[in-house]
Amino acid sequence: MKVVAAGRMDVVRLEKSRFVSFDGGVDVYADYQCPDRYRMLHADLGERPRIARGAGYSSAAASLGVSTTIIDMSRFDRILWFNPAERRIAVEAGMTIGDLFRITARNGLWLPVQPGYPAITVGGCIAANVHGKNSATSGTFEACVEDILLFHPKHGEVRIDRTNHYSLFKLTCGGYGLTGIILSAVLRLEPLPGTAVAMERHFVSGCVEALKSVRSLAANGKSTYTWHDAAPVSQTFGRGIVYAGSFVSGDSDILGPMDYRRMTALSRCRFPFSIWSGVRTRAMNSAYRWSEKLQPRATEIPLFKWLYPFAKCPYFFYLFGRQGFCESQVLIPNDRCEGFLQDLQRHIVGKKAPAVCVSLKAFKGTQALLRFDGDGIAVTLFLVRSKEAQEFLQTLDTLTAFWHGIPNVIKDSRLSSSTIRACYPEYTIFREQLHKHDPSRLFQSELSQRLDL
Amino acid sequence: MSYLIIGASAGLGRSLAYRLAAAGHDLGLVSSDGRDLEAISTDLGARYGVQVVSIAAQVGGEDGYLDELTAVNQRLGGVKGVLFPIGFIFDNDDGTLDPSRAAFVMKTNCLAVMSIVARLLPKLKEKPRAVIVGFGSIAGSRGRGVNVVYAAAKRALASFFESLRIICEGSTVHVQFYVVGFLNTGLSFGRYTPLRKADPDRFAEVVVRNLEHNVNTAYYPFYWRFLCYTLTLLPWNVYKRLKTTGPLA
Ligand SMILES: Cc1cc2nc3c(=O)[nH]c(=O)nc-3n(C[C@H](O)[C@H](O)[C@H](O)COP(=O)(O)OP(=O)(O)OC[C@H]3O[C@@H](n4cnc5c(N)ncnc54)[C@H](O)[C@@H]3O)c2cc1C
Ligand SMILES: NC(=O)c1ccc[n+]([C@@H]2O[C@H](COP(=O)([O-])OP(=O)(O)OC[C@H]3O[C@@H](n4cnc5c(N)ncnc54)[C@H](OP(=O)(O)O)[C@@H]3O)[C@@H](O)[C@H]2O)c1
Repeated sequence: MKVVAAGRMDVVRLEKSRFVSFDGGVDVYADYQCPDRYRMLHADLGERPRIARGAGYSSAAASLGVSTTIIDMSRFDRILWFNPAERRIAVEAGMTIGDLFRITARNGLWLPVQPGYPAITVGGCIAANVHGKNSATSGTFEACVEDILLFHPKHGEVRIDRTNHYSLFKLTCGGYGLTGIILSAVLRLEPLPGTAVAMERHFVSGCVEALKSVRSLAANGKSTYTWHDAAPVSQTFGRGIVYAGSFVSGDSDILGPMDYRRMTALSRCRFPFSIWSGVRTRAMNSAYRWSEKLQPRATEIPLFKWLYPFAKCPYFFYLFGRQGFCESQVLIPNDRCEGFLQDLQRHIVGKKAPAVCVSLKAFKGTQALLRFDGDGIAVTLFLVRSKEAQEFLQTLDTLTAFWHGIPNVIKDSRLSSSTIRACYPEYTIFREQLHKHDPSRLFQSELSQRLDL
Repeated sequence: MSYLIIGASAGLGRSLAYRLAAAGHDLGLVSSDGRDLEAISTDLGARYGVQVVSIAAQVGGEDGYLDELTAVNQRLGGVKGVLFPIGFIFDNDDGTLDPSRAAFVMKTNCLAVMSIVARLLPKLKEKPRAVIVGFGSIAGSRGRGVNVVYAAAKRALASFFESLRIICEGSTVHVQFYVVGFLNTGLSFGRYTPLRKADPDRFAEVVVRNLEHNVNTAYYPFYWRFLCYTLTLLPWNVYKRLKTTGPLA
């Protein structure tokens, strides 16, 4: 394991550390490398299985594995060039979206697709092809990516985009880090549509009722998502709020309060036990609903707070404690949503599943490979991690397949390869393309092993 | 005001570059790899709007870079300070390093610092206030069984900075020297350290804050002053046992 670089020999040095999937479901003690110079990324790790790691915010164990060497990309977090006039920025893959927002917003620009936590990295966004608040209008992260510099020890550094190596580009956006290490990417920015978001709250008594609002508000170009009480009680199940946001040029200082205390997968599980459970879940959900009722129907929220709601308020995750949570996100075709949501309610209440909350979001796009994309409604469910939750989620897998939905691979740390094969028509194509690109399958994670990729 | 950082692409040097740029200082950066330097330079420029000039130079090799350094110094309008967070270790530095490698370690950790100081000192003396900051290592406090040539280079460096302080006495140049304990950087990554590694960002904050103050020799983290002092007081037989079979082995 030696490499000659810059005229001298550098030995690849590894350390061992504990890594946990964000949901607390996978906990491993693994070798990791923490490169801070380019030549370290090129260092010869032999035939060791390896995987690049962004910031570790995936609920699934996509950037870790027991026998996998983890390559921590956090030191590669720099801007390589920025051309505000052309609305293009080239950044290294470890750059966080919060940092990127801070820098681009000063020039009146932003990335229109952003997941909900500022410490998530650009590499993680590309590899999971994440979605933002307005998936119905802005699509998924791939839409923001112009080109990618990808490194694979067997192929070297390759620049991939929509004209060069297009199939590899498609495989890498939503490739879960399995095609190689994303070193950097050129991203397309858009003008900031406002400095704040005017947020309306519509109170609903059930998920199905919310569907109508979600569809019509999203069709009007509003960023819409919902929150519903999912405690397994038939009287209260589904009571919730539809949030619809539209951009305004408010007084809020967008560059002001952008500081936050970073939560990590390890710090998230510091609490010894879960506060969410049974009566407490019901009480806290009611309290939340009432607190929202006491707010004015429409409020103005600074853009940073709206983009990253968990930055200032991470307690939702902390309260799951050491045992963690189970997250499941499924995309259900538009014409089957009502049926799915009714079944979901029936099973949660009937099985007394330890569910906490459900959220809905409209999606528009085309499904391909193993990407969480397509036309429909994304339904996200959080449960307290337990045996009952695991049993319920197996039922949910059956329901998802029955209603022609697809589960989000990055959000659920227990999905099986049979479920993914059943739900994703292009599972085999993804697998074949991956094996063609990387016959010795150097890049592996717990996720890839579990899904037999 | 501008500063030169020798060993700026990683670890402490990188943290220092960000701290100084955040305070609005233009920078000259030196390390061996142009790609890393380029990334840092563009990033600093984009984030803080400062001017950053970089020199990719293998300071353990030929001395040609010294002329470039002079040119960069001029381009930056004469720097106000030079910081030397440079460090390099070979893994098998156990007393059996071949001569070319031993020379490389000596040159990178010590002789290059001396050459750069020699080249820039006259210019620094022309400034109303200037500063030279060196970074030694606790490894240089007593003999040891690993990183042998590195430790020797760091002890020589400490001696050089002591002399430099005498040379600069009465001039406008302030000489600061930090004896550094374990830092959480690439240099110590994957190596056993009996005590916790300190955060290089915090250390950089301390160094930058001290640039305007009169610091002679400081230890970081501070407790190393007592530990190093105790180590030097230990009778040889006790120290030897600690180093060969004890907790410091
Ligand atoms: C609070 C919170 C809110 C979230 N909100 C959303 C949301 O709104 N929408 C959404 O879609 N997701 C959301 N997520 C999920 C999150 O966006 C994804 O899991 C994302 O992939 C995490 O990126 P990361 O930087 O943490 O990378 P990791 O979790 O470490 O890795 C994720 C994947 O990216 C790969 N990867 C990372 N860096 C590289 C690289 N340089 N080269 C190659 N592969 C790489 C890894 O191998 C892995 O497969 C949220 C997560 C949290 C915790
Ligand atoms: N880390 C510790 O635990 C520790 C302990 C005691 C003392 N120290 C001292 O603290 C200081 C900072 O160290 P660090 O931990 O930040 O080290 P580091 O992370 O390895 O960084 C060292 C820097 O020096 C550069 N460099 C090394 N050899 C070079 C060469 N031959 N030519 C040009 N540049 C070279 C490196 O860039 P390239 O690699 O690109 O050349 C890098 O920018 C050093 O003086 C070190 O000796 C560190």
